[in-house]
Amino acid sequence: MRILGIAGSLRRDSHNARLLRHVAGRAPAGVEIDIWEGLKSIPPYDEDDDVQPAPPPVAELRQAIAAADGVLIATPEYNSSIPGVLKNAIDWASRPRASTPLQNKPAAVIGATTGRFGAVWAQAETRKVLASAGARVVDLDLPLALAHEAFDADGALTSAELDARAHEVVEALAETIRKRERRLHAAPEPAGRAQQLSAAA
Amino acid sequence: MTTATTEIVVPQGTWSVDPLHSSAGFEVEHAGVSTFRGGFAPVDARLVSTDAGVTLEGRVAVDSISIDDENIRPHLLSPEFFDVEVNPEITFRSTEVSGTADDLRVKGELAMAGASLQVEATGTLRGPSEVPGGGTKIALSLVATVDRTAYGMNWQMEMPGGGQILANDVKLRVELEFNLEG
Repeated sequence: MRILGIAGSLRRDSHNARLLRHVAGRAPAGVEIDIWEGLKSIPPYDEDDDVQPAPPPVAELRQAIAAADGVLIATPEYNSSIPGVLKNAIDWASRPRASTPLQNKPAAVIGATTGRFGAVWAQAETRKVLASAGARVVDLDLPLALAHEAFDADGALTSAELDARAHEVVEALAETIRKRERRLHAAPEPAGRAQQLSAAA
Repeated sequence: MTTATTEIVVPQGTWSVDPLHSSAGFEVEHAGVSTFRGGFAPVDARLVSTDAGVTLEGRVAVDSISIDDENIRPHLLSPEFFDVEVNPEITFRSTEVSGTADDLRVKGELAMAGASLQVEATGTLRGPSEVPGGGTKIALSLVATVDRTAYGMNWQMEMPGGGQILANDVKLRVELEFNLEG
């Protein structure tokens, strides 16, 4: 399965990008995490620009989400909430609402911050935003605090506990994806058509 | 199986719903000021009355919901509400039908959004009525109130002046017209 990883920070030395690379490198067998690098190219959302064809970076984001089996977002926390660039990208991806690739898409959120609270508010807000866009959101977070001290020189998490928690989130996302795959490929004809209760209908 | 009390007069037989003359809807308070109504169509249902008792079964397709707003409809169908991808239908199966024609009580399992809970509906039974061209009809009119949060539909927004944008209690109302089979 393929998971699209998105780091919500543009900074070259981003802890969240580092976290995503760490998680991608330790993904379970059969799980590939592809890190999306196009966040900086996404223009500010303007409904006047939200036409067909979409701005190319936006079209690429929508296609990348559509092609992925799931989405894993690593978010920093700015002013107790989601970074604007990340929210902006989700806003583009969520439109038009009737055909967003986020509808029913398995999604999970992790995060990292140099502060002490592990970006938990930003993660909760990101989960809320993804759910509002129709995604199937894993109800877990990864409270990675003091991120500047959390990685070794090779970019690996030094805390076994955090590493296990990150693995738990990825595994929960993978399981959500697997369950969805089984459901979609096993779906019988809706019972309403196959087994009418009423003879007349 | 279901036991009927002797007060019930549901004529024996198997009764199939006439979907054109039936409806299944919901009513929920919105923004603290109005009743937001919607429904699902068609409704499929069957009523069986034998010596052993009376059973009522019904189902609707979630994607038949009457809301067509381009933002609200996908939200209702998403995992945050009905999760149509996992739960394509809302189903009901009675466990007990009791009372009288004017004071009918129907208890049963309502399965929706991945949860199945006991609900109790009250209402009326009318008929039988013979119709032109032959055929016999009866009709059930039933109302039940459920807490949507018990079904995992917890979405909520607080309003600036206090209160919640969408009530938790939802009134379910079905009007079922049945034809006697056979």
